[in-house]
Amino acid sequence: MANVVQANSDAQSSPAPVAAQQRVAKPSRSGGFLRLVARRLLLIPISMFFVITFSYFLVEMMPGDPALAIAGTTASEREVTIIRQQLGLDRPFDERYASFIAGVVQGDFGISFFDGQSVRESIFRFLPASLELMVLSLSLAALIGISIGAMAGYFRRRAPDSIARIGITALQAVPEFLIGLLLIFTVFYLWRLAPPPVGRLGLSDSYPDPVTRFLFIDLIIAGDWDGLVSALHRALLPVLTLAIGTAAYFAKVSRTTIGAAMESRQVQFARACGLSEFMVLRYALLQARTPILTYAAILIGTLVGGASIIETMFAWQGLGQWGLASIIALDVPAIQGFIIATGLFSMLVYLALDLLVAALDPRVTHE
Amino acid sequence: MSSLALSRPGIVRRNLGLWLGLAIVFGLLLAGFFLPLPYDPIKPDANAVLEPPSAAHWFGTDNLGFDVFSRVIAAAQRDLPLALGGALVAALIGVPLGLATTLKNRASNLIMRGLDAFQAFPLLVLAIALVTLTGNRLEMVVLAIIVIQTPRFVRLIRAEGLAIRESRFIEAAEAMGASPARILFVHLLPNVSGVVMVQLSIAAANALTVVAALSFLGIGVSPPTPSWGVMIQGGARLMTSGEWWVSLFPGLAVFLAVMSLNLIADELDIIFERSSR
Amino acid sequence: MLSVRDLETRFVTRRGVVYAANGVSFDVGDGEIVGIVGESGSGKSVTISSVLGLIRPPGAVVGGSAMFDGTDLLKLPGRALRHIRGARIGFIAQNPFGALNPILNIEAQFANVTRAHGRADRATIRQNALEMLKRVGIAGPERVLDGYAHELSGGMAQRVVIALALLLNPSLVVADEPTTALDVTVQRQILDLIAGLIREGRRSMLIVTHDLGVVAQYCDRVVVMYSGRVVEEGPVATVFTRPLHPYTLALLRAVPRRGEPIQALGGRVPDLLSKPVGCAFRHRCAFAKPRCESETPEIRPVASTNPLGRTVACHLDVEREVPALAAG
Repeated sequence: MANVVQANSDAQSSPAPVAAQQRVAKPSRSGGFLRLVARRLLLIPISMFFVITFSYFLVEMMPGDPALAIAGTTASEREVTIIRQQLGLDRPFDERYASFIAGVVQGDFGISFFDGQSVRESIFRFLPASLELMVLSLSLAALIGISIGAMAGYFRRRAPDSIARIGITALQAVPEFLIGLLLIFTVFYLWRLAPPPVGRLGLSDSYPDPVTRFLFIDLIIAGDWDGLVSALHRALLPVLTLAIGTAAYFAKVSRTTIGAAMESRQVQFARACGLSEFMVLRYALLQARTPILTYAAILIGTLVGGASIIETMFAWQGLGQWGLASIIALDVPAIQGFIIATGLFSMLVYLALDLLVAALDPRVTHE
Repeated sequence: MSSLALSRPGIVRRNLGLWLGLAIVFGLLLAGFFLPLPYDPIKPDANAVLEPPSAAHWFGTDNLGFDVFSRVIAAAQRDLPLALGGALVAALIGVPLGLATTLKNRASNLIMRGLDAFQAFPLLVLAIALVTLTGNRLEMVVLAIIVIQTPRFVRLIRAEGLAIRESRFIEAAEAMGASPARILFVHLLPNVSGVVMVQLSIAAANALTVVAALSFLGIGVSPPTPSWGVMIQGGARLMTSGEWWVSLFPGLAVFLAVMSLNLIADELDIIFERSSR
Repeated sequence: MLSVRDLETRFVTRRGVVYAANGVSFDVGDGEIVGIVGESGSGKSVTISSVLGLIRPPGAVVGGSAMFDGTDLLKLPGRALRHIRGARIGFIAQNPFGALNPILNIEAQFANVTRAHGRADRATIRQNALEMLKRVGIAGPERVLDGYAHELSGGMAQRVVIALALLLNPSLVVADEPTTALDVTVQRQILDLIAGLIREGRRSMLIVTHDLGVVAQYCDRVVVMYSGRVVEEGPVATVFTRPLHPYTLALLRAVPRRGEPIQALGGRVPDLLSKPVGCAFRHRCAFAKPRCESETPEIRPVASTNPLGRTVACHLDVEREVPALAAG
């Protein structure tokens, strides 16, 4: 999904977190941390209103009779009527819209057309797997990407930089699902270093009690170390796939920001004071921290739910896989729930980012 | 500004990347339409199933007996125009809208707020939802691209336009009583043409990955029309049994085209930067 | 103390090679304050960056030497040079807010500079920092030390930079337009402070400025640069009363004086994209001769003023012709 993230994450078009950067650029002494928190919290309901409305109209846009399209050609008249009622198509538009919003506000996303489960339940059931995948792959991606970016930025306009730049550009042009397939071919088929891409645990492994619903944590709680090893082994390919694709973006943003920081007056003065090159690089990293964090936030926001294809490819059973399956099955309540959940999640991540940046930067917190 | 840069002698050597990128993209496009193919891309040969690359089948054959090479070339006919066309329409909508939002009024604020909320989604998933819910038709793929790319043009042009608006010559034009529309289209538009061209190739590269991802999921495609994404999907399962060529070659085609479009964007960026200084 | 010879620095850009410093030579004696003056783009900042080893790619020092206490700074490996920078050569930056780290508090920055040149425990570092801040005239040094750069006024921040530059008692201080970023009202205070600390510690200083008034008031000798070359060098008193190079003369005339019309210098500084042939100043020089077109004037001692150590790079018979121009 990182390919779609691309322009979205460029400084020119990144959404909410940009606010954090602007605030840092213009230090305001009147802000105050609590006031910032309050202001950002107030913005969430407004943005959520857009998201909820959008999720509603996306389904409203369906051409023809949605009930017929959803039920499929084999459905009986009665089934179509039930779906029609559930969609509220028998009621006037404004009433439907109002009751939809009322439901969402109370946390009621309705019942899935297909498995009959509560949509809210499903979201909470599938979210932990996506979070685990996201945390693992993003950590790895940040580690690889920022290291490469820092190296390229440090050796700007010299050989390591040119090599890194070509590598980054090339990697960004490979669709993520292709990375996944190539890894399956090499690591699984050729080298036999990974198990087949068919789920999070092997057939002989048993699933632990869902205490936290985070598989890795539940396995640890259950003390099932063999299961944990098996689960980690099975996580290798999907994590690597997402990490490789995402690392290129981390590398790109750190290369640019650290490269620019290395040429800043601050770094020049640090050098003139005789600071070691290690310290100089640390100064540059401090300077580049905010843009890199912003980037990470955008990636977190899009990877949960946005890693649908990779989750599906490796049968990861996460939110993205569930969302994608729901979309393809035209499961309207599930689609709406999925859109609202991912939108809310992104906004919370952006909020966390803004607060983190504010907490880390003395220019914002200290009055 | 661009004409100056482009009219200098030795231009091909100086902007090798640009010409290389353009050659690959248009080469693929022309090949898709005009190259005589060794086999019929929509007629499988039941006697040549899953053959590895050879002199007879350069890129091998897939599990149904289709010639991979013929289909990779033929798919350019569908995938590239979709991506390029979608990006172009997004620019045509996004640029005027972006220029309009440089006027500081309530409407432009509202547009920007809406776009902010919109961009909080995993956009590819949104595109998938859009195409699926509206009946899985090809023209909806283009619409999905437009929906994803237009906000990026709006933001970019708004940012550029706001910066240019600060400059003296716009002040002078305003002082002389030029109408807002005249300022937008006569004074601002020519000055953002560079960034529009750069963003256009970035958008096309992006759109191509969206097209590939959608057809990889079987969304917006009608078999047996070849598409790179569909072909990669067709070979996905075969990766676990070692028949790599079915997915790899269409994958390479996507990679080559996206890389070339990014290369064009990079080079254009350098050219416009250079001439504006 | 510092002896720079034939310094050549170039930048390779996409538009071509920029010849930023072309054979720059000058000396800074013990206890001397030397000013480098010139318009922006004359290569004065590049010169001091080259001497300090701060030129980064795409730029590079391609020739010359910079002898400092018997060692050539330009040939020193990075590590050894690093130990000289900050300890034996202090650097005062142009803009304190650009130079100070906005994210670390001031004490941490003192600690980093101290630790870059040796071991020290926290208490000693703090003690030395407080001492130094007092010496640069900061009233509440504890509060400044615990705070951040953005909480300081411009003058205060520049005092912190000066304290950092002098922390390890360097024998040479290099200052890059130390007051241009400050309010006019505090510029004088800061310059007085710097000059006082230099004289008091018997240090030498190399100060880059475009303000001839600063040179006249604080410097012993002056180096006039134009287009990446030194065009005239000598004691401030004689250079300013009797300029020998037409460019120096023009610079002095451009300084506003009460009751006299300002004589602006026409034309522009040539861009440094082409390897300069001939005298770079010839297009703006009232005296240019055909020879100035083809031959680059070498810097040479001026015979009659030789005991004063004056040098000039001009094809004219500077002792007769330029004073005549000045008079007329």
